Amino acid sequence: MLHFLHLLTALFLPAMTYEYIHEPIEVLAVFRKERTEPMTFKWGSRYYQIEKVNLIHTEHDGREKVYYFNVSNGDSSYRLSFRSESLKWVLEEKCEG
Amino acid sequence: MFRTKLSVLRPTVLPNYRPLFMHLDMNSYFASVEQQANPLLRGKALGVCAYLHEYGCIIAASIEAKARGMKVGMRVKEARQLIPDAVFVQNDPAKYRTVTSQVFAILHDLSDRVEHYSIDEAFLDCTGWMRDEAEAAWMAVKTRERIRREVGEWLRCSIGIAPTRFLAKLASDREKPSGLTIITLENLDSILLGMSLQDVYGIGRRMKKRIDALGYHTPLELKRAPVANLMQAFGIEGYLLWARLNGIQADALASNDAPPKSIGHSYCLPMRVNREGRVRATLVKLAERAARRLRRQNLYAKSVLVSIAFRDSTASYAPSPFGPPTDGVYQHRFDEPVNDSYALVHAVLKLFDDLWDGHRAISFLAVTYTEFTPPSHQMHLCLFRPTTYNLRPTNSGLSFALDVVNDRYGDHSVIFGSMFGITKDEAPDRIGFRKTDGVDITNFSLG
Repeated sequence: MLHFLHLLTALFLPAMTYEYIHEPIEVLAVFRKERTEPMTFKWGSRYYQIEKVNLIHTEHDGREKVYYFNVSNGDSSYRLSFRSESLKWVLEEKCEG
Repeated sequence: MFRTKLSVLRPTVLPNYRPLFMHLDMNSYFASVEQQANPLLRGKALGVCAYLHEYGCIIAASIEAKARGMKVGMRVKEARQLIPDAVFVQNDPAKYRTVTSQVFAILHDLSDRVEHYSIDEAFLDCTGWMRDEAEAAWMAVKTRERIRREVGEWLRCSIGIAPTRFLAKLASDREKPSGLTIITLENLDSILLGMSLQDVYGIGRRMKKRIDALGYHTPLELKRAPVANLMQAFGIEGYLLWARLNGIQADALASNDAPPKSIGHSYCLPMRVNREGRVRATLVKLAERAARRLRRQNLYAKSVLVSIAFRDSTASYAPSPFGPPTDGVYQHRFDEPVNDSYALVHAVLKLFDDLWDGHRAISFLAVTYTEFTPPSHQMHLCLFRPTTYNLRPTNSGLSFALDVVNDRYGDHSVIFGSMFGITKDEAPDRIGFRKTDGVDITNFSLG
């Protein structure tokens, strides 16, 4: 059902392509003094360079805290998630303009 | 360090500081946050919807969309006809709560008295923290810059500065987006001169009619009206209206810790929920979610209301506690205040069965708990009604245990049997403009 909702989302973004992905990824991140930023991620066999972290937000899933990183690279925008208990990164969504 | 000292000294050493209030209003908030998160949406006519459906309601429009005529409250279908290249996204409450927490945390650096008025608005009592309007304006500009730098460069806000809470709100409403307006007792008349009655915060269509009937047609006329006339017509409200417009402080900042007057959830049901027979399950989900919030705040409700609207309704608009038109609102009062899910869900289902024949398609459901009291911790003897739900301590204990499990493993890890088959899409997390639940300024540090 969740996929159905995201398919709908795609229909409501006429000039862009939107994909709900939810697949595990490998991430290189930098832990700065004040914040953590993903720099590069590997999805499938391809590496994606992150140019900018646009917004970070959080959500609780039970005791686990999930950090969402909304990042972009030129004409592409991605939403990555990092789970505080399992310490796993997931590529949640991809949007291309 | 300097601010800490001021805080200590203010009541004794700085008694002559003039009253100064600030109101900050984030512009096109939900849409701006979405544009901040996804740069591909920037510069586009964007509508944030309650539901991604042709009949879904627009709850926020981007500044670009507003300029082309999109309005909050429009249906997606209607907005698409108006702006064919508009983009629509579904609202994401967690995103907005996090951003609000970050913005409010910045505001708490300006004053010790900050009222979290809504998800995108806050009042600050800056009396004693800033010498005059000029310093307040300087701080406002710096705050706006901090929001852009620390939270997001696409976020814009309008700021109003005035000697009262009411006038600060009036000031911030004056120029959008990114306005900064200062109202003083000296320029108040010139500010009011160009305004209509309905531009004034708190004056709606009905109130305007009543004020018009008294012979006052502009805010300036209302300000200059004899207070006795207004009091005769509106009672104490008449005085408050006159005082607010004359720059007299009539409203204190509300406490962020004040308990809510009601807790509830509502949901506009898509047709598939009716077709698949999940109406009762959806109602139980709403009742249980509201019950969890009740217990989280350690409140007990004496009263529960259930409201429904039918798809084939011919009823004309009737005001209801939930906003949209409804076909029925039933209320149940408990003998003793309760907060366990069993008593509450049982009462909700009983009310629902009285309202619904089991056949008509339902378009709207709402559950509200009211008349809160703190727990009495008294034991009651059930001599005459041994099966009364709220008097069975095991139910409270079980509700508490279920909360512990759901807090640990995530919402709906353990659910009522009557919720079986329901998906995450039914009655998902929603955000209300006047709601600041989940906004936590102590938890804003990210990454």
